[in-house]
Amino acid sequence: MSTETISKLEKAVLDMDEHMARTAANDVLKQKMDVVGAINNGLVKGMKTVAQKYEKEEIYLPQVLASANAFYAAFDILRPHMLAGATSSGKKVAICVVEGDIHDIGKNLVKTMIEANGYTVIDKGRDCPVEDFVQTIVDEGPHFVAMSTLMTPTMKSMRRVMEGMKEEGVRDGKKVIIGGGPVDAEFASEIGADFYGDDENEGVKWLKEQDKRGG
Amino acid sequence: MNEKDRLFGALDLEMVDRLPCVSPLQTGTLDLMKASDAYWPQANNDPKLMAKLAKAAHTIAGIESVRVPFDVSVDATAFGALTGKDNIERQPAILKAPITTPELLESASIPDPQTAGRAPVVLEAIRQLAKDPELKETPLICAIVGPFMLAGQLRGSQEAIMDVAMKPAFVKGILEKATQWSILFSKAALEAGADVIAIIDATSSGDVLGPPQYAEFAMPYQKRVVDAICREDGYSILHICGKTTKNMPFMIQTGANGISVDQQMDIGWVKQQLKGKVACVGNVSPTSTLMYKKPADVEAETKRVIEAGTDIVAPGCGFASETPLANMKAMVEATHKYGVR
Repeated sequence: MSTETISKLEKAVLDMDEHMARTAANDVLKQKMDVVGAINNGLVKGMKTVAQKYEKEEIYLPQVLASANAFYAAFDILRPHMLAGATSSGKKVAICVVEGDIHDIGKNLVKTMIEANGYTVIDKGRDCPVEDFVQTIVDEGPHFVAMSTLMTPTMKSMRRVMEGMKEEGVRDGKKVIIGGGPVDAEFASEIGADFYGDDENEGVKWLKEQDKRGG
Repeated sequence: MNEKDRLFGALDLEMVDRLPCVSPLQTGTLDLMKASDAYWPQANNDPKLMAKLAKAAHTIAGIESVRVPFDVSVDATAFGALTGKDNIERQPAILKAPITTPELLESASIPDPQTAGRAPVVLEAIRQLAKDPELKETPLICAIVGPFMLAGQLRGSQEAIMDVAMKPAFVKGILEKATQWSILFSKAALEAGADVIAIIDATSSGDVLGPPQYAEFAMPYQKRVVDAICREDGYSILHICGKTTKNMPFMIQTGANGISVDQQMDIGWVKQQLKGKVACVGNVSPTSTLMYKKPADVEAETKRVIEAGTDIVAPGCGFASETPLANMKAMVEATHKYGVR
């Protein structure tokens, strides 16, 4: 019965089926199954397959977003039942679309992949004021800081977050990754960020590499 | 040749004496606002100020076109979208999407460009610019938001993209109404005196839609708008952001006179695809070069873009508001220097 539920979770993500995802997540709870196992072997497995297909250009952004939508339909039901620190990494990532921009599709996709890889995400949403985001970094002490923007004028908000982190004395020991249409590796190094990720796969790969190195 | 002859010639794929240096993308910068005493956000709402700031791109910076408006939410306001958060250096953002359900789609009528949202502001600015004797020889470009991008603004961009996979009939219903509006607005702009319609369909990028999706959800609608512009004897330039490599064959099929690409694209490669079919427009980097570097760097990049074969020199995306005036001028001067054929 439980393996069937797990395959149902995986299939719901692959088939972009929000309804099936919710039903399967509720089954996990009803059957008192291991929640983390169901997430990893069902939802996450499905999402990783989706990411691979996307990387190989077998599918495109609309399908990925629809799969992510199904992923969250189940994940949001299961998350409250996860034991703290029970995920594979447990490391925290603070993420936002910086002040001045409301385009958050890329950020949401990165967030999905980061969560699917076992990190805890503190999502500050879109158009997040610089001071708010810096304060979150001070309060939460994440291991990673991720920022994105799709608009050229808002690139300066990234610079201001970097400056704010230094002023608050919280830059050291944290890895900063940026992404989004107008920014590039050159801009990342200019503002003192650690990495520019061209897409969500590249970003998550880098995050995991840093972890392996003990970063 | 005057500026109009040069741009129209380039769009008609005819020989021109020198490449034109224009901007089908937004031109409002802080330096130009100061120089013209017409500032955002007022210049988005007042036709006189809109015309004044748009004209400054030509008279102060030397750009060989005048372009209105400065933001991409005019079309959505016509459908009743709520916008805000705009200030002197920030374009209005869409705060609430107006067509989020099939019921709302059903009841949405096609707005009248003469009365709906901020469209009348743009049309009045065009009328004023068109009768300005100092701009008699300068091409007047009106930007409209293309059907796929507009559908995203009306529905919510992430939702509209998901609809492509999950609710194709619903998003096609929105695309249909968006297209009918695009046609009406383009016609009204041409009637008011615009010479060129820039169709900004930024989110129909290859980063969002794969080739089969672009062929189904973007191209046919863009083509209808292009056809309508053509019937009114206007010129069309299609601008799409991001990596458009795989969708380029379908972009060509829209029949647009010009295809404008952003700085992520290799303009030499684009020219090879478009040669003999469509004018190649682009693609000096608006951020890493025009915003952040020095005039000498702008000159070098403009020269590179010209040597790679662009037919029309333009920024790859709208000018960022902090772009130094000296850099805008450097792009124009470099075109004068290296663009002679």
